[in-house]
Amino acid sequence: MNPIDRYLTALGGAIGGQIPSAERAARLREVRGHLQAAAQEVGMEEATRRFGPVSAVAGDLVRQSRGYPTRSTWALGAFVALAIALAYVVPGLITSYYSFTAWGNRFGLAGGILPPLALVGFAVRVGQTRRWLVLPVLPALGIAVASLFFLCVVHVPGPEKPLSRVLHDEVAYWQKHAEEVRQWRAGQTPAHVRPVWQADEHAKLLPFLMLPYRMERNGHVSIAPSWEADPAAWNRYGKAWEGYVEEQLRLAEAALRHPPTNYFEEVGFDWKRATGEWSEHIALGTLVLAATNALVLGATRRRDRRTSGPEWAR
Amino acid sequence: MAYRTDTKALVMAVLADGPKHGYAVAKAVRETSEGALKLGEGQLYPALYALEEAGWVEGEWDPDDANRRVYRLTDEGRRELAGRVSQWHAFANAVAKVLPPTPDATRPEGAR
Repeated sequence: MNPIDRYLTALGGAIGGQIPSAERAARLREVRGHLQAAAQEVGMEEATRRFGPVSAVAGDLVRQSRGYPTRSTWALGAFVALAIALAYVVPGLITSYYSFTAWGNRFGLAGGILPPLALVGFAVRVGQTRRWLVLPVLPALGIAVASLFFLCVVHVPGPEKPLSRVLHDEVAYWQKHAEEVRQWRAGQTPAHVRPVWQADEHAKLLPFLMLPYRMERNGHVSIAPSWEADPAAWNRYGKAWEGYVEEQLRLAEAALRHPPTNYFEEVGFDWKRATGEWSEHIALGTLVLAATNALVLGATRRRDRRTSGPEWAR
Repeated sequence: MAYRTDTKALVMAVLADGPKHGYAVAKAVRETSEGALKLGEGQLYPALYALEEAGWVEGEWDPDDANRRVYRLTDEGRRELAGRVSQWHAFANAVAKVLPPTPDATRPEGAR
Protein backbone atom coordinates (compact mmCIF):
# COMPACT_ATOMS: atom_id res chain seq x y z
CA MET A 1 0.00 0.00 0.00
CA ASN A 2 1.53 3.30 -1.05
CA PRO A 3 1.35 6.50 1.05
CA ILE A 4 -1.61 7.84 -0.91
CA ASP A 5 -3.62 4.66 -0.37
CA ARG A 6 -2.69 4.69 3.32
CA TYR A 7 -3.78 8.31 3.61
CA LEU A 8 -7.06 7.67 1.84
CA THR A 9 -7.77 4.61 3.98
CA ALA A 10 -7.14 6.63 7.13
CA LEU A 11 -9.23 9.54 5.84
CA GLY A 12 -12.10 7.23 4.90
CA GLY A 13 -11.96 5.69 8.36
CA ALA A 14 -11.94 9.09 10.06
CA ILE A 15 -14.95 10.25 8.08
CA GLY A 16 -16.70 6.95 8.71
CA GLY A 17 -20.44 7.09 8.46
CA GLN A 18 -20.65 10.76 9.35
CA ILE A 19 -21.59 11.76 5.83
CA PRO A 20 -23.59 9.83 3.23
CA SER A 21 -21.60 7.02 1.63
CA ALA A 22 -21.98 8.37 -1.93
CA GLU A 23 -20.71 11.78 -0.83
CA ARG A 24 -17.87 10.17 1.08
CA ALA A 25 -16.84 8.15 -1.96
CA ALA A 26 -16.89 11.27 -4.16
CA ARG A 27 -14.79 13.22 -1.65
CA LEU A 28 -12.20 10.44 -1.39
CA ARG A 29 -12.09 10.13 -5.16
CA GLU A 30 -11.35 13.83 -5.51
CA VAL A 31 -8.71 13.73 -2.79
CA ARG A 32 -7.07 10.83 -4.61
CA GLY A 33 -6.95 12.93 -7.79
CA HIS A 34 -5.42 15.82 -5.86
CA LEU A 35 -2.79 13.68 -4.16
CA GLN A 36 -1.83 12.00 -7.40
CA ALA A 37 -1.37 15.38 -9.09
CA ALA A 38 0.67 16.68 -6.16
CA ALA A 39 2.75 13.48 -6.01
CA GLN A 40 3.95 14.07 -9.55
CA GLU A 41 5.63 17.26 -8.34
CA VAL A 42 6.68 16.55 -4.77
CA GLY A 43 6.34 12.81 -4.24
CA MET A 44 3.66 10.84 -2.44
CA GLU A 45 4.88 11.37 1.11
CA GLU A 46 5.14 15.14 0.71
CA ALA A 47 1.80 15.26 -1.12
CA THR A 48 0.00 13.62 1.78
CA ARG A 49 1.87 15.77 4.31
CA ARG A 50 0.82 18.93 2.50
CA PHE A 51 -2.75 17.81 2.34
CA GLY A 52 -2.88 18.02 6.11
CA PRO A 53 -3.51 15.82 9.15
CA VAL A 54 -6.18 13.22 8.49
CA SER A 55 -8.26 14.14 11.52
CA ALA A 56 -8.33 17.85 10.60
CA VAL A 57 -9.20 17.17 6.98
CA ALA A 58 -11.93 14.71 7.97
CA GLY A 59 -13.28 17.19 10.52
CA ASP A 60 -13.47 19.97 7.93
CA LEU A 61 -15.20 17.71 5.42
CA VAL A 62 -17.73 16.51 7.96
CA ARG A 63 -18.35 20.02 9.26
CA GLN A 64 -18.91 21.26 5.73
CA SER A 65 -21.28 18.43 4.92
CA ARG A 66 -23.30 18.30 8.11
CA GLY A 67 -23.02 21.84 9.34
CA TYR A 68 -21.71 20.79 12.72
CA PRO A 69 -18.45 19.13 13.66
CA THR A 70 -19.71 16.21 15.65
CA ARG A 71 -20.78 12.74 14.83
CA SER A 72 -23.52 12.51 17.38
CA THR A 73 -26.94 14.09 17.30
CA TRP A 74 -27.26 12.75 20.83
CA ALA A 75 -24.49 15.06 21.96
CA LEU A 76 -26.25 17.96 20.24
CA GLY A 77 -29.58 17.06 21.76
CA ALA A 78 -28.19 16.60 25.26
CA PHE A 79 -28.27 20.30 26.09
CA VAL A 80 -31.89 20.68 25.08
CA ALA A 81 -32.88 17.38 26.64
CA LEU A 82 -31.36 18.56 29.88
CA ALA A 83 -33.29 21.82 29.72
CA ILE A 84 -36.56 20.04 29.05
CA ALA A 85 -35.86 17.43 31.69
CA LEU A 86 -35.12 20.15 34.23
CA ALA A 87 -38.30 21.94 33.20
CA TYR A 88 -40.25 18.85 34.17
CA VAL A 89 -38.21 17.49 37.02
CA VAL A 90 -37.30 20.57 39.05
CA PRO A 91 -40.83 21.81 39.76
CA GLY A 92 -41.89 18.21 40.33
CA LEU A 93 -39.10 17.57 42.78
CA ILE A 94 -39.78 20.74 44.69
CA THR A 95 -43.50 20.14 44.91
CA SER A 96 -43.07 16.50 45.83
CA TYR A 97 -40.57 17.35 48.54
CA TYR A 98 -42.58 20.05 50.19
CA SER A 99 -46.07 18.69 49.54
CA PHE A 100 -47.93 19.21 46.36
CA THR A 101 -50.97 20.79 47.89
CA ALA A 102 -48.95 23.50 49.61
CA TRP A 103 -46.44 24.30 46.91
CA GLY A 104 -47.99 23.15 43.68
CA ASN A 105 -49.53 26.48 42.82
CA ARG A 106 -46.42 28.45 43.63
CA PHE A 107 -44.20 26.30 41.47
CA GLY A 108 -46.82 25.91 38.83
CA LEU A 109 -45.43 29.17 37.51
CA ALA A 110 -41.98 27.63 37.15
CA GLY A 111 -43.58 24.64 35.49
CA GLY A 112 -45.30 27.01 33.10
CA ILE A 113 -42.22 29.06 32.26
CA LEU A 114 -39.52 26.42 32.03
CA PRO A 115 -41.02 24.30 29.23
CA PRO A 116 -41.42 27.30 26.88
CA LEU A 117 -37.87 28.35 27.73
CA ALA A 118 -36.68 24.84 26.96
CA LEU A 119 -38.56 25.05 23.67
CA VAL A 120 -36.81 28.32 22.83
CA GLY A 121 -33.49 26.66 23.68
CA PHE A 122 -34.44 23.79 21.41
CA ALA A 123 -35.26 26.14 18.53
CA VAL A 124 -31.98 28.02 18.96
CA ARG A 125 -30.04 24.76 19.01
CA VAL A 126 -31.76 23.56 15.85
CA GLY A 127 -30.95 26.90 14.20
CA GLN A 128 -27.31 26.56 15.19
CA THR A 129 -26.91 23.00 14.04
CA ARG A 130 -29.55 22.73 11.33
CA ARG A 131 -30.22 19.17 12.39
CA TRP A 132 -33.23 17.09 13.38
CA LEU A 133 -32.77 17.18 17.12
CA VAL A 134 -36.26 16.03 18.01
CA LEU A 135 -35.33 12.35 18.08
CA PRO A 136 -32.41 12.48 20.50
CA VAL A 137 -34.40 14.77 22.78
CA LEU A 138 -37.41 12.48 23.16
CA PRO A 139 -35.79 9.51 24.93
CA ALA A 140 -34.11 11.97 27.28
CA LEU A 141 -37.51 13.41 28.04
CA GLY A 142 -38.81 9.92 28.73
CA ILE A 143 -35.92 9.27 31.10
CA ALA A 144 -36.67 12.54 32.88
CA VAL A 145 -40.33 11.64 33.32
CA ALA A 146 -39.39 8.14 34.51
CA SER A 147 -36.96 9.61 37.04
CA LEU A 148 -39.60 11.93 38.35
CA PHE A 149 -42.03 9.04 38.57
CA PHE A 150 -39.51 7.00 40.55
CA LEU A 151 -38.89 9.87 42.95
CA CYS A 152 -42.60 10.34 43.46
CA VAL A 153 -43.02 6.67 44.29
CA VAL A 154 -40.23 6.52 46.85
CA HIS A 155 -40.72 9.99 48.28
CA VAL A 156 -42.52 10.33 51.59
CA PRO A 157 -44.00 13.81 52.00
CA GLY A 158 -42.60 16.19 54.59
CA PRO A 159 -42.85 15.97 58.38
CA GLU A 160 -46.21 15.15 59.83
CA LYS A 161 -46.88 18.49 61.43
CA PRO A 162 -46.45 20.80 58.43
CA LEU A 163 -48.22 18.31 56.19
CA SER A 164 -51.12 18.11 58.60
CA ARG A 165 -51.38 21.90 58.55
CA VAL A 166 -51.35 21.84 54.78
CA LEU A 167 -54.12 19.30 54.71
CA HIS A 168 -56.19 21.36 57.14
CA ASP A 169 -55.73 24.36 54.88
CA GLU A 170 -56.77 22.25 51.95
CA VAL A 171 -59.95 21.14 53.67
CA ALA A 172 -60.73 24.71 54.70
CA TYR A 173 -60.18 25.90 51.15
CA TRP A 174 -62.69 23.46 49.70
CA GLN A 175 -65.12 24.00 52.56
CA LYS A 176 -65.19 27.67 51.63
CA HIS A 177 -66.09 26.71 48.06
CA ALA A 178 -68.71 24.24 49.31
CA GLU A 179 -70.27 27.07 51.33
CA GLU A 180 -70.43 29.21 48.20
CA VAL A 181 -72.13 26.38 46.37
CA ARG A 182 -74.66 26.05 49.21
CA GLN A 183 -75.39 29.78 48.98
CA TRP A 184 -75.91 29.46 45.27
CA ARG A 185 -78.23 26.47 45.80
CA ALA A 186 -80.23 28.57 48.28
CA GLY A 187 -80.71 31.23 45.61
CA GLN A 188 -78.20 33.66 47.04
CA THR A 189 -75.31 35.26 45.27
CA PRO A 190 -72.15 33.77 46.76
CA ALA A 191 -70.42 36.23 49.06
CA HIS A 192 -67.09 36.24 47.27
CA VAL A 193 -68.23 37.09 43.81
CA ARG A 194 -65.68 39.36 42.18
CA PRO A 195 -66.35 39.59 38.45
CA VAL A 196 -62.73 40.05 37.48
CA TRP A 197 -62.41 36.74 35.73
CA GLN A 198 -65.24 35.95 33.40
CA ALA A 199 -65.90 32.26 33.12
CA ASP A 200 -67.07 32.64 29.54
CA GLU A 201 -63.84 34.31 28.55
CA HIS A 202 -61.98 31.61 30.37
CA ALA A 203 -63.85 29.02 28.35
CA LYS A 204 -63.05 30.87 25.13
CA LEU A 205 -59.38 30.89 25.97
CA LEU A 206 -59.17 27.22 26.86
CA PRO A 207 -59.33 25.73 23.36
CA PHE A 208 -55.96 27.38 22.82
CA LEU A 209 -54.58 25.78 25.93
CA MET A 210 -55.84 22.23 25.63
CA LEU A 211 -57.43 19.84 23.23
CA PRO A 212 -61.25 19.83 23.10
CA TYR A 213 -61.59 16.26 24.29
CA ARG A 214 -59.58 17.15 27.35
CA MET A 215 -62.00 19.97 28.09
CA GLU A 216 -64.82 17.49 28.06
CA ARG A 217 -62.99 15.01 30.19
CA ASN A 218 -61.82 17.59 32.70
CA GLY A 219 -64.98 19.62 32.81
CA HIS A 220 -64.00 21.38 35.99
CA VAL A 221 -61.02 22.96 34.27
CA SER A 222 -63.03 24.50 31.51
CA ILE A 223 -65.96 25.65 33.58
CA ALA A 224 -64.52 26.45 37.00
CA PRO A 225 -66.28 29.69 37.89
CA SER A 226 -64.47 29.88 41.27
CA TRP A 227 -65.24 32.68 43.64
CA GLU A 228 -64.00 35.22 41.13
CA ALA A 229 -66.63 34.43 38.51
CA ASP A 230 -69.62 36.54 37.66
CA PRO A 231 -73.11 35.56 38.93
CA ALA A 232 -74.26 34.51 35.47
CA ALA A 233 -71.41 32.02 35.32
CA TRP A 234 -72.73 30.43 38.49
CA ASN A 235 -76.01 29.77 36.75
CA ARG A 236 -74.33 28.28 33.73
CA TYR A 237 -71.62 26.24 35.38
CA GLY A 238 -72.57 25.98 39.04
CA LYS A 239 -73.85 22.41 38.86
CA ALA A 240 -70.64 21.00 37.44
CA TRP A 241 -68.65 23.13 39.84
CA GLU A 242 -70.64 21.75 42.73
CA GLY A 243 -69.68 18.20 41.79
CA TYR A 244 -66.05 19.13 41.50
CA VAL A 245 -65.99 20.92 44.86
CA GLU A 246 -67.63 17.95 46.56
CA GLU A 247 -65.05 15.60 45.10
CA GLN A 248 -62.14 17.80 46.13
CA LEU A 249 -63.51 18.27 49.62
CA ARG A 250 -64.00 14.53 49.96
CA LEU A 251 -60.42 13.89 48.85
CA ALA A 252 -59.01 16.57 51.16
CA GLU A 253 -60.91 15.22 54.16
CA ALA A 254 -59.85 11.66 53.34
CA ALA A 255 -56.24 12.82 53.10
CA LEU A 256 -56.53 14.49 56.51
CA ARG A 257 -57.88 11.29 58.04
CA HIS A 258 -55.18 9.14 56.43
CA PRO A 259 -52.17 11.32 55.61
CA PRO A 260 -50.52 10.16 52.38
CA THR A 261 -47.26 8.26 52.45
CA ASN A 262 -46.11 9.26 49.01
CA TYR A 263 -46.64 11.88 46.37
CA PHE A 264 -49.17 9.93 44.35
CA GLU A 265 -51.37 9.30 47.34
CA GLU A 266 -51.13 12.94 48.26
CA VAL A 267 -52.46 14.15 44.95
CA GLY A 268 -55.02 11.35 44.70
CA PHE A 269 -53.19 9.83 41.79
CA ASP A 270 -55.45 8.22 39.22
CA TRP A 271 -53.44 5.75 37.15
CA LYS A 272 -55.87 5.65 34.27
CA ARG A 273 -56.14 9.40 33.93
CA ALA A 274 -52.43 9.92 34.50
CA THR A 275 -51.46 7.40 31.85
CA GLY A 276 -53.69 9.20 29.39
CA GLU A 277 -52.36 12.60 30.33
CA TRP A 278 -48.74 11.51 30.21
CA SER A 279 -49.30 9.96 26.79
CA GLU A 280 -50.80 13.25 25.74
CA HIS A 281 -47.84 15.18 27.10
CA ILE A 282 -45.42 12.97 25.20
CA ALA A 283 -47.50 13.03 22.00
CA LEU A 284 -48.09 16.78 22.14
CA GLY A 285 -44.49 17.41 23.16
CA THR A 286 -43.28 15.36 20.20
CA LEU A 287 -45.59 17.24 17.90
CA VAL A 288 -44.49 20.63 19.19
CA LEU A 289 -40.79 19.74 19.05
CA ALA A 290 -41.09 18.25 15.56
CA ALA A 291 -43.03 21.28 14.29
CA THR A 292 -40.51 23.65 15.85
CA ASN A 293 -37.66 21.64 14.36
CA ALA A 294 -39.26 21.76 10.90
CA LEU A 295 -40.10 25.47 11.15
CA VAL A 296 -36.59 26.44 12.19
CA LEU A 297 -35.04 24.28 9.49
CA GLY A 298 -37.37 25.83 6.93
CA ALA A 299 -36.78 29.36 8.09
CA THR A 300 -33.00 29.32 8.36
CA ARG A 301 -30.47 29.10 5.60
CA ARG A 302 -27.42 26.95 5.71
CA ARG A 303 -24.66 29.07 7.09
CA ASP A 304 -21.56 29.99 5.19
CA ARG A 305 -19.49 27.51 7.10
CA ARG A 306 -16.15 28.50 8.38
CA THR A 307 -13.26 26.35 7.34
CA SER A 308 -9.70 26.72 8.42
CA GLY A 309 -7.95 29.63 6.75
CA PRO A 310 -4.69 29.51 4.85
CA GLU A 311 -1.45 29.83 6.71
CA TRP A 312 0.30 33.18 6.48
CA ALA A 313 3.86 32.12 5.86
CA ARG A 314 5.75 35.24 6.82
CA MET B 1 1.56 35.83 11.94
CA ALA B 2 -1.99 35.03 12.83
CA TYR B 3 -3.93 37.17 10.38
CA ARG B 4 -7.05 35.40 9.21
CA THR B 5 -7.72 35.56 5.51
CA ASP B 6 -10.81 34.81 3.53
CA THR B 7 -10.18 31.40 2.02
CA LYS B 8 -13.31 31.52 -0.08
CA ALA B 9 -12.41 34.89 -1.58
CA LEU B 10 -8.94 33.57 -2.46
CA VAL B 11 -10.41 30.51 -4.13
CA MET B 12 -12.95 32.57 -6.07
CA ALA B 13 -10.24 35.03 -7.13
CA VAL B 14 -8.15 32.20 -8.53
CA LEU B 15 -11.17 30.74 -10.33
CA ALA B 16 -12.00 34.14 -11.77
CA ASP B 17 -9.07 33.56 -14.17
CA GLY B 18 -10.69 30.39 -15.49
CA PRO B 19 -11.88 26.92 -14.46
CA LYS B 20 -9.45 24.85 -12.41
CA HIS B 21 -9.36 21.63 -10.43
CA GLY B 22 -8.61 21.66 -6.73
CA TYR B 23 -4.88 21.05 -6.92
CA ALA B 24 -4.49 23.85 -9.47
CA VAL B 25 -6.40 26.20 -7.18
CA ALA B 26 -4.09 25.46 -4.24
CA LYS B 27 -1.05 25.83 -6.46
CA ALA B 28 -2.27 29.13 -7.90
CA VAL B 29 -2.83 30.59 -4.42
CA ARG B 30 0.66 29.54 -3.37
CA GLU B 31 2.39 30.75 -6.52
CA THR B 32 0.46 34.00 -6.94
CA SER B 33 1.23 34.94 -3.35
CA GLU B 34 4.87 33.96 -4.01
CA GLY B 35 4.65 31.33 -1.31
CA ALA B 36 3.34 33.74 1.32
CA LEU B 37 -0.06 32.06 1.54
CA LYS B 38 0.04 28.34 2.03
CA LEU B 39 -3.46 27.05 1.75
CA GLY B 40 -3.66 23.76 3.60
CA GLU B 41 -4.63 21.63 0.66
CA GLY B 42 -7.02 19.57 2.71
CA GLN B 43 -8.80 22.75 3.77
CA LEU B 44 -9.39 23.74 0.19
CA TYR B 45 -12.07 21.20 -0.58
CA PRO B 46 -14.53 22.04 2.20
CA ALA B 47 -14.23 25.65 1.02
CA LEU B 48 -14.91 24.60 -2.57
CA TYR B 49 -17.92 22.52 -1.52
CA ALA B 50 -19.29 25.40 0.52
CA LEU B 51 -18.87 27.73 -2.46
CA GLU B 52 -20.61 25.20 -4.65
CA GLU B 53 -23.44 24.88 -2.16
CA ALA B 54 -23.81 28.66 -2.14
CA GLY B 55 -23.99 28.64 -5.94
CA TRP B 56 -20.83 30.70 -6.33
CA VAL B 57 -18.88 27.98 -8.10
CA GLU B 58 -19.92 25.01 -10.17
CA GLY B 59 -17.99 21.77 -10.24
CA GLU B 60 -18.08 18.84 -12.60
CA TRP B 61 -15.99 15.71 -13.00
CA ASP B 62 -13.21 16.06 -15.52
CA PRO B 63 -13.93 13.82 -18.53
CA ASP B 64 -10.16 13.37 -18.95
CA ASP B 65 -9.44 12.36 -15.39
CA ALA B 66 -12.00 10.37 -13.41
CA ASN B 67 -10.56 11.56 -10.08
CA ARG B 68 -10.71 15.27 -10.72
CA ARG B 69 -13.45 17.82 -10.58
CA VAL B 70 -13.10 21.08 -12.41
CA TYR B 71 -14.55 24.18 -10.79
CA ARG B 72 -15.63 27.38 -12.44
CA LEU B 73 -16.87 30.65 -11.00
CA THR B 74 -20.54 31.43 -11.64
CA ASP B 75 -21.93 34.89 -12.36
CA GLU B 76 -23.29 34.98 -8.84
CA GLY B 77 -19.82 34.03 -7.62
CA ARG B 78 -18.29 36.93 -9.53
CA ARG B 79 -20.69 39.34 -7.84
CA GLU B 80 -19.86 37.83 -4.45
CA LEU B 81 -16.16 38.08 -5.19
CA ALA B 82 -16.52 41.74 -6.22
CA GLY B 83 -18.24 42.46 -2.92
CA ARG B 84 -15.57 40.69 -0.91
CA VAL B 85 -12.79 42.43 -2.81
CA SER B 86 -14.22 45.86 -2.12
CA GLN B 87 -14.72 44.93 1.55
CA TRP B 88 -11.15 43.71 1.77
CA HIS B 89 -9.71 46.87 0.21
CA ALA B 90 -11.79 49.07 2.45
CA PHE B 91 -10.48 47.12 5.44
CA ALA B 92 -6.87 47.12 4.24
CA ASN B 93 -6.99 50.87 3.50
CA ALA B 94 -8.38 51.58 6.93
CA VAL B 95 -5.67 49.51 8.60
CA ALA B 96 -2.98 51.15 6.44
CA LYS B 97 -4.13 54.58 7.62
CA VAL B 98 -3.65 53.59 11.24
CA LEU B 99 -0.44 51.56 11.04
CA PRO B 100 2.87 53.38 10.56
CA PRO B 101 4.09 53.35 6.93
CA THR B 102 7.33 51.50 7.75
CA PRO B 103 8.69 49.48 10.69
CA ASP B 104 11.19 52.29 11.29
CA ALA B 105 8.36 54.66 12.00
CA THR B 106 7.54 52.72 15.17
CA ARG B 107 10.80 53.82 16.82
CA PRO B 108 10.99 56.93 19.01
CA GLU B 109 11.72 60.05 16.95
CA GLY B 110 15.32 60.44 18.17
CA ALA B 111 16.19 56.83 17.36
CA ARG B 112 15.16 56.88 13.68
